[in-house]
Amino acid sequence: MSAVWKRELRSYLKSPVGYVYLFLYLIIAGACYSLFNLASNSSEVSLYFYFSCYIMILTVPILTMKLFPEERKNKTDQILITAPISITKMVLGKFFAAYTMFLISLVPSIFAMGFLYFNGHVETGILVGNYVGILLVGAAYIAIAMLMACVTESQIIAFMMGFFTLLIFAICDILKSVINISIADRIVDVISVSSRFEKLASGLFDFSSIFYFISLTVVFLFLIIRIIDKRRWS
Amino acid sequence: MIEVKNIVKQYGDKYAVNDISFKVDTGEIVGFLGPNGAGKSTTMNILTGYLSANSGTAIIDGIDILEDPTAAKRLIGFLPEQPPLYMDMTVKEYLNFVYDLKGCKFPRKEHLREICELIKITDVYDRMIKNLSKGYRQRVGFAQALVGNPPILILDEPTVGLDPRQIIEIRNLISRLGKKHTVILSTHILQEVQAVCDRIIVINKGQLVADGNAETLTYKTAGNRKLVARIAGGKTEIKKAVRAMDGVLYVEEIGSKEQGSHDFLIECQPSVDIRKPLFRLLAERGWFLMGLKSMDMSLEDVFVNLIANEGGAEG
Repeated sequence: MSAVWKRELRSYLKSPVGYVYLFLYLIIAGACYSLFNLASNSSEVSLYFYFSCYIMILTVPILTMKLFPEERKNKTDQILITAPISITKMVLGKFFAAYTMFLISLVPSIFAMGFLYFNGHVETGILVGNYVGILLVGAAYIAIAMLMACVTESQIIAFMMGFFTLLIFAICDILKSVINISIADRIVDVISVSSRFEKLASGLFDFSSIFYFISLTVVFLFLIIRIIDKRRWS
Repeated sequence: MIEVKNIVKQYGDKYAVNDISFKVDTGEIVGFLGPNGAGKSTTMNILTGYLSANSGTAIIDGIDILEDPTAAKRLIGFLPEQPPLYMDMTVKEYLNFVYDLKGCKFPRKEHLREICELIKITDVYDRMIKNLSKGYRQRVGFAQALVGNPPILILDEPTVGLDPRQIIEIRNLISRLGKKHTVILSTHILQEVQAVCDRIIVINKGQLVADGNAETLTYKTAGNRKLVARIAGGKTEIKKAVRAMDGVLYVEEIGSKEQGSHDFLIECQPSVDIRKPLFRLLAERGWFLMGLKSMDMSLEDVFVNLIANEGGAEG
């Protein structure tokens, strides 16, 4: 697993993809921070994280789009699948590589939030809740976008499908108010990311939300493993 | 070492591999021979666990590839048809990655250096794979298969894209590796199997057509025996006398290259060796045998014959 993780991480840092991701996320998140905190002289931390969840709809697919399509195009998946490691370990290696990039992109926020924490009025519970929330949302988004990358051989299609799937997960609450059908309501209640993120971000240590994000991640990773395994049989 | 039993691989209603069974013993070098699309690569992919067969089993050193894939894969070094190379890595990074991936326990530096020297890629060790020529890429792919020193090597067309000198080098290398490893290689180049393999398995249209060494294959498919004899004497009498011999099916004069003698093509039944009675006959009649050549079939002829009788599966 660590071999795959190391290779993917190195490939992020040696190719433009990793830097495009970091640049895009940091510039938009930085703009949010400047606007909501610095310019408006506020120490309200939630907005930064709330908007980060929406930025990630665009940036996470950049991170995941190359994970599988490139391997299949160059036939390098043959070395991974015929190596003495399980498919689960290979998928986890890729997942954690993308997650590591996601963590790297959060590093600057520690300084930004630390600045607010020591110079403004920030409730510790809310700050921790926001971090827990974004770490969980990041994992779930990466798993979802990875599944989209796993079913295609084209990076562009992987990106588009990842983007639109995440969009549905993220904005379904808005759709709910527009559509207003009871079945749609119930579906939205099941998949809504933002309502659960908001719970965590308000400083509420909501176990069902934490459980939701973790199971979302696990289910999607499991589907990826099944799809790759299934492909060997067809 | 390797046992394949009745494997079938279907894509839709098309059979890529249809009921192939064979065994490979430790230390053997076996060549898979067959035209393009015959099912060679599919069979190899099933053996290495990249694909799964619809039915049948592949057993590697007593381990079923489906039951304990990790243990079975640890015994195999695989060079696929297209070497699985990451273009954005140097040869060094790549081989180190493969070393980690296979979870090897040898002293890393020496093990990799040994392989590089064996495959002769030491001089490109620090170069990016994307900047290497096709021949070097093929060799890096070969090196990858050797990492971890697996007892079984499965090589899918290992000499494709190499120049003639490199082809000879790689063939010599395979012969050398065959002393310590069990090797299965696929090719559609006949000289290659003739040059390096102990045994040949011919596959056509997903089925095993023949299995044996070059001589037995030649013998099995040879059909009628053919000889060319150069005899000094009268043309028509010789023809008549030889035609009257037991087991001779056909005699034809095919030219006269030496003064006073004629070349005859003699075809006789496969069970009959005509050479001794022919010599006696000629001696009795006072004709001189100037030359005698048996027209053995080359492996090319065997191959063409086997492929032509499609479906004629025989062990």
